[in-house]
Amino acid sequence: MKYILILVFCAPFVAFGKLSIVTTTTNLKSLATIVAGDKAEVISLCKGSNDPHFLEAKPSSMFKLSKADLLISIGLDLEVGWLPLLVRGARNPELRDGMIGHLSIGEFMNRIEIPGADLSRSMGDVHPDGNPHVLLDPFNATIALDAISKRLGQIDPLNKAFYRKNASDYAVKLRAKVVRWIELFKKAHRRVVTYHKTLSYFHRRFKINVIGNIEPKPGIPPTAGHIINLIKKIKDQKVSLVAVEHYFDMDAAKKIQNAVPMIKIAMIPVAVDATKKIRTIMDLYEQIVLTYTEKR
Amino acid sequence: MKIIILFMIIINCSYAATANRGRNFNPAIGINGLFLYQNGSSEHEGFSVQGLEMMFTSDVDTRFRAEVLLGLHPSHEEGQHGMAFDAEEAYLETTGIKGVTFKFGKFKTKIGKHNEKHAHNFPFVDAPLVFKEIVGHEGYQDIGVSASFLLPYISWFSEATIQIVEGELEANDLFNEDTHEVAGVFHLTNLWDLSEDLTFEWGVSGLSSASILYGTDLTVKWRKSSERSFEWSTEFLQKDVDGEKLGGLSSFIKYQLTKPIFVQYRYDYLGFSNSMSKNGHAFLVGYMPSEFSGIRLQYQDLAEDEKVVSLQLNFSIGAHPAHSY
Repeated sequence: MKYILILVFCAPFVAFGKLSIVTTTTNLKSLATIVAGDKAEVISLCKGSNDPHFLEAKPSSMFKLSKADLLISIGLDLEVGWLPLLVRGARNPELRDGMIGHLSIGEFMNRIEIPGADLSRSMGDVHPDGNPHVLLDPFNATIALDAISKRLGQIDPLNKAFYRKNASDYAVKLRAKVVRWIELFKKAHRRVVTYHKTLSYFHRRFKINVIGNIEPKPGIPPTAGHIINLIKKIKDQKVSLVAVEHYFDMDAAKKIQNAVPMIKIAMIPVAVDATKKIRTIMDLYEQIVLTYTEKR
Repeated sequence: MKIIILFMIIINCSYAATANRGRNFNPAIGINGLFLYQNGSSEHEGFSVQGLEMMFTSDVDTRFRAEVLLGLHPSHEEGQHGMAFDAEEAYLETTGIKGVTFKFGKFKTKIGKHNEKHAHNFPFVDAPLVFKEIVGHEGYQDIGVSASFLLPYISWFSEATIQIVEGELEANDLFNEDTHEVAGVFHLTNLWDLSEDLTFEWGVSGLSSASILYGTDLTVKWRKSSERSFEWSTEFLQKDVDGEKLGGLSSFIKYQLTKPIFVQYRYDYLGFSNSMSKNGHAFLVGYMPSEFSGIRLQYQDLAEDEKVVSLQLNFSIGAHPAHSY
C-alpha cells in the first residue's frame, strides 16, 4: 500500500515530460532547439521580425517565463530594457541573473567595439559591454552550443550525453561550412555599408570592410546630410554592397542606389524567422553568405 | 530644509560615484524632469517645473530589491506656493520567493491603471480629470504591505494584488479627514495576446475602508514595429466617501504615426451617481526622438470655458528602468 502511495505522489514528477526553455531571440531559439531536440519545448520572446533592443515587456511573456525551467539570453545589455521587468513579473526566482535557470551566452564571448571611458548617450544607443550581436559569427554559435549543452546537462543530468552529442555534431557541421564559405568570400563584396552595426562579428570572421553605416549613430535615423556624406564615401572607396538589416527600412538604401546606380542594395536577414525560408541558424548564415557572395 | 537634504543626498551620491571601490554597489540612479509652459491654466500658468523625480533602485541582498522615488513638484496644498518635496515611493520588494512578490513600505497603490504611473510616464501632459477629482492630484500612494501573484491554474496572464495600507490622511480626496481606518486594496489584471501584435487587457480594482472605491479598465494595444503602434485605453472609477458618491471615466487613443511622432486624444467624463457633470477633451501631438527625451503639445478643452494649451519637455538621465506594459 505504501509503495502505491509513493508511486501516486511521484507520478506527476515522472510524467513531467519536456523541459520548458524560453529564449530572448529566435537565433537562440534555433540553437536551443538543436541542442535540446525533443527533450524540450523552446519558445522565443522576440519574433524574428522584431528588433530585440526595443521589445515591450508584455505581461504575456511574464506568464511564459513563470513556467520556464531555463531562460537563455544574449546579455551584454541587449535585453536590459525589458528582460529584468519580465523576470520579476514571472516570479520565478531560478531565472534571475546568476542563477542556474538563466544562461547569458554573451558572457562566454570575446567582445568587440567596447566603448571607452567616455561612454555616454550622446553617442546614441551604445552598449557598455561591447557589440551584443555575437551570434552573427558562426564560430560564436559553436561556443553558444557548448554553453547551452553544459547548462542543460546541469539542469537535466540524465540527458547530459544527449545534449552534448547534439551540440558537438552541429558544431562540426558549422565549422565545415565556415571553411567552405571562407573560400567563397574570396570573390565576394568586400567593401560594404550596412544600416546598423549588427554584422560586426560576421565581418570580422570573413574579413569584410565596413566603410560606414546608414545610421549616423546607433539608434539614430539617417539625416539627408549624413546620406550625402555616405554617398561620397561610397564612391571614393568603391563600395559595392549596401546591406540593410531586415528590421530597418530600405528608403535610405534606395536613395544611395539612385546616386550610385551600379551598387547592389539588399535586405539582409539577421535573425531566424526573419523570412519564412529562414527556419534555422544554418539557413540564416547561408542567406547572409549568399547576399555577400552573389554579385547582384 | 527638505531642499538641503535633497542636495546632500545628490552630493553624497556623486562622491560615492567617483570612488571606484564603492561604485559597483551603488544603486542605479535616474532623474526625470518635466518642464511645462501653459496658457489658460488656473494651476501652472506660464513656465513651470512640472516635476523632478529621482529614482534609486538596487538589489539589497539575495532576497530583496529596493526602490526609492523622490519627487519635487509644485505644491497642491491650499494656500501653499512653491515646490513640495516628498518620498513618493520607498519600498522593499522580495525577489526570491517563487510565485509571489511581497512589497513593504510606501508605494503607489494599485487602484485602477493610471495610479501606478509616474508623472514622466503619463500618456498625456496631465492626469485624466476623473483621476484628479476622484483619487486626487497627487495620486494615491500609501504605506503598508502588498502581495501580488499570478493566479495558478490559469492559462493566460492573470495577476492578483492585495494591499493593506494605512489609509493615508493626506489623500483628502479619498478619505474623510476625521476618520483614520486601515484600507484594503484589491486588483486583478488579465491580459490576452489576441495575436502576435495585438493585446487586450482587462482589470478590476477595489478599495475598502471607511471609503469605498471601485473601478475597471480596458486596454487594447497593437504594435506592428518600433515605428507603428496604437493604443486605446479606458478607465472607469467610482468612489463613495461618507455617502458622497462620484464616478467618472477617461478614455484615450494614442497612435504612433512615425517613429518619433505620436497623435493622441482623450475624453474625460465626471458625474456618474452625482448631479454635477463635467467633461473634457484633450488633443496631443508628441515628438519623442528617443526613449530619453520628448516634447509634447496638448490642447485641452475643459468645462466652464477653460481651454488650456500646454507644451511639455520630458527628459531622463541615468538608469531608466522599463515601465510596465
